[in-house]
Amino acid sequence: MRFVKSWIVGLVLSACGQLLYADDWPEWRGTGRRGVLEETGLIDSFPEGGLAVAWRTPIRSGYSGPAVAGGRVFITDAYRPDLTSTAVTERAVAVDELTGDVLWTYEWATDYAGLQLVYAIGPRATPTVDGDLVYVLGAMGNLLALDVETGSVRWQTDFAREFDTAVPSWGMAGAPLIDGDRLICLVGGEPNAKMMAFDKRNGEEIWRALSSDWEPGYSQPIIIEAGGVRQLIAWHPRDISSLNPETGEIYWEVRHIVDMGINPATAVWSGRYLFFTSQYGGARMLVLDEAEPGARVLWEGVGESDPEYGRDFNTLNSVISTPVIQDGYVYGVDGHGVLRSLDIETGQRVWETEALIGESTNWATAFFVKNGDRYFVNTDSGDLVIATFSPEGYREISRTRFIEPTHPYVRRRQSGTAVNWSHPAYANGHIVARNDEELVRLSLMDGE
Amino acid sequence: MGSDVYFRLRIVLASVLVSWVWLPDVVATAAQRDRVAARRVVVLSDLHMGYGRDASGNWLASEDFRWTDELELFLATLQSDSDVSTDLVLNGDVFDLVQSGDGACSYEDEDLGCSEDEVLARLERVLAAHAREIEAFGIFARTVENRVVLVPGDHDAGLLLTNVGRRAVEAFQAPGRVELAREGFWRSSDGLIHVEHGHQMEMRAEQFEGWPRPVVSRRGLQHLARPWGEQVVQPLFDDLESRFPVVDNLADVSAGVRYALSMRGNTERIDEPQLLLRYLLFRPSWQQFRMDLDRGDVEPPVWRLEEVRTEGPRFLVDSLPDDDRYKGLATEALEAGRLDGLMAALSDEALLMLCDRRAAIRRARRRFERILSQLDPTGPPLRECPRTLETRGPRYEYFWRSRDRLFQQRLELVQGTNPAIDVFVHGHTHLADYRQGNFTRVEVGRAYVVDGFSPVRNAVIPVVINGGAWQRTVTPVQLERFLQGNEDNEQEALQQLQPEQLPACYSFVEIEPYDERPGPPALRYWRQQEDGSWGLAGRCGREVME
Repeated sequence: MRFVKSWIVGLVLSACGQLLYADDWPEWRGTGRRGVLEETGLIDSFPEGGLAVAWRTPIRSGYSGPAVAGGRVFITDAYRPDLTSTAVTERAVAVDELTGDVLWTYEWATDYAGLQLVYAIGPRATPTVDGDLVYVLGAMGNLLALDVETGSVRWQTDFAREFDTAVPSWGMAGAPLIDGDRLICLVGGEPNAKMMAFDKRNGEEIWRALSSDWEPGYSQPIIIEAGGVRQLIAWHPRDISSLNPETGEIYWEVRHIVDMGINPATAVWSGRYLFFTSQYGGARMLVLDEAEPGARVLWEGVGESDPEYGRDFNTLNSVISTPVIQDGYVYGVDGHGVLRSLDIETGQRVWETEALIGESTNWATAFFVKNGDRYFVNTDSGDLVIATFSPEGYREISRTRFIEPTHPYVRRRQSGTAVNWSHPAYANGHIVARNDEELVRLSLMDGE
Repeated sequence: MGSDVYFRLRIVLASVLVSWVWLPDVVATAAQRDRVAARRVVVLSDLHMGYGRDASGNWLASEDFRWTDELELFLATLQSDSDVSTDLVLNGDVFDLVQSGDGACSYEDEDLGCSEDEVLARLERVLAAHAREIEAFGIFARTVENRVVLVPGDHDAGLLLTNVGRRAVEAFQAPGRVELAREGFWRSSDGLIHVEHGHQMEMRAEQFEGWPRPVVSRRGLQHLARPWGEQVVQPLFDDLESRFPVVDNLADVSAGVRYALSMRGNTERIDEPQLLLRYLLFRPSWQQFRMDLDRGDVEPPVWRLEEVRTEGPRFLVDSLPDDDRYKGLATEALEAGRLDGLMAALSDEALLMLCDRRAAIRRARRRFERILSQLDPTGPPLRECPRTLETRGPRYEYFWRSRDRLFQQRLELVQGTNPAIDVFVHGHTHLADYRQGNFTRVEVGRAYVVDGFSPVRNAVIPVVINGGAWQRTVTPVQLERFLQGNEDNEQEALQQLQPEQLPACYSFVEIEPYDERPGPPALRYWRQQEDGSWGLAGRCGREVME
């Protein structure tokens, strides 16, 4: 069904513009969590007046990105009726991809007490769509499997209530990951239930793994293939853990402690390399064993909490942004707004620039999506950029304003008090983005 | 007079040398010169000046203040902006009149400390050993409209004895410019800034009864009282410091006992291990924790204290993390049955405090939070006390109530009828507050303290700040890093480690001149740079030197 709808949407869009190949964006960073947009026929540079708006639909606040599948856009948001209270209504919303009309909503009550309230504006995790179900996760650990057509609840659980999860300060952020019949989640539960796999059809527990004596963190699990097996990579603030996604059995672990548990960036997998970055814990470049499940540290960079920090910038300390690997180089934004290129083998800095973010600022973020030999990059100041990266430097091809930053208050921010820290979806010739007020769909098709 | 001129010359030279690091502050304060009445407040504490050198000219192992040159340069720098008058508050333990190592003041009644004459004799030795420092403070006091205030701490509580206090003030040779805070604390003339050493806060092992009259009369003689913590720990320090010169330079200072005892490796010479355990458990440095994770909407969990009591004395040992250096010895004492009475003696309030502390350590270690405490944030987490079912979950994740209560009770006690205190400065633990930032957040019509913490939840003021120690200290985390580099012989490395090798930085608190209300207090460091020069910095950032 999903395929049929996607095909119809693609057909319609292709007829309207010059889109040659269209695809959905069913989960965090798109299919396979790779941050790769396979579509062709997209614009080479942005129109002078900005991107054409297909529709705008009012929504509530949150950090979660949209997912697009089967002709629908799914998003989560939240509403605090009394700002002096922590009582919150979280919500899942389905929107018609072509019209922006709200198809259904589903609400649940929760309470953000215990979260760092500056950032307690809504859910973090991007919905995950699989077949006739969309899986959504609230900031306090409410996991729901909803019917994509109606929004009715197929099954649900509450991490804190069912698994004694101590919700970390910035909320539950791990978007559920589909693997066959399993829904793999970062739960942070007890005992030894940091990672859990549920039967995606009914929510029954299949396996649990990893101690919750340490926080779950905020990183998104991914699945890679290396050493002759499929490996679930769970990066949490104490270790990088590789698990058998079918059983939860640990293949290997590499110690990588991240102060304050702040590890929102996603692991970056490229061939035999697996890269991790955090602001406080620094970076680790692993080389995967090709013969059997295993990994070794190729190089590591100091984090801001390390005593040596400040003397060595041959590393990348991203706070939220997930970097990319291309042709033997790492490109990413560090926690102070610098776009930096590193040699993949040594970690040595090749170049760096503030041209992408445009300022030196704390906790700067940009999200990278590869499209052919170029990248779409959205910055947290609301810009969308087309750029290329090479060892020679950063080349900006085009830039436009595409979303108003509304996420409130970021301390020490030089350029005002609002940012946009939501990863947009790229699907069917459009970018779908959200802030705390609206969900907007803008055309990336050439000729529109 | 000659030395006075010499010192003023040094002030000029030093001012030039340090102007590059001081420049931003010079600019800041220059703008305020028109405000004649406005005064800067600078708070130093815990210098611990002792008996100085032995007959052959070597430092005594017990001497913690070996930093005369640095102090002179620091005072010169403070004065380099000569139009601004300063209230320089020496916030306790400036003189170490407790740790003598001379065997004096030893009485059968352990509650008795030195008599007034004995304290005076100790003070005279300290003054003679630190004449340059006293002179430097005196010159500073005589400059512009400066004032120097001596606030008594637990190690120089003897200053509250009449003749001792008078002698100490006279020694600075700055009549009218040096005063002793006989109330046991200093309050700015507008009542907005409160400075006290910190040992009198509830649960402190070094608390004196009857403060600021810490006196016991026996047979017609006035003696200083000896708090129970001093009774337990001071003999250990006296014994250990000759072999481990930095034993009392660890911040928090009780951590040094853990190290030295674990190095010594047995409990044979600990007469009362249960008392030492009590000291270690109830002398937590309730320092700056994280500030901005909640704004008062989170509640503390309810601990099931009846269940805790059923654990018996094992609970006390379990309240030390596995990497606590004293845990092995505490376990030995438990197995020998020497902790049996302690558990029964603890009040519910004390148990609650321990449960809060355990939960706070657990939470901090779960998230590798360096700012919780001086404990290694990567160490093993502690198990929480059992909670009631109703208080499980994120709504009940507030573990700082014991700390808040500690400060709030103290504030209520010292507040009196004065205007509300804006800034509360203390020292004592040798562990300066972690600097969080320098702004206050305003949200939904409320303001929240981010720099420093307020024990009054949801309030901007008062800000509480721990100024640390104006001497060289080392945190256990720094020491662990040093020892890891000498893991073949940790004991020898610890024995040979000298205070001169410790991070070359000295913390203090500065409150800039103000018209109506003081701004946020700033924690600053007088720090040696990589090139050997000295300057002011916002953090220490130095490690133990090989």
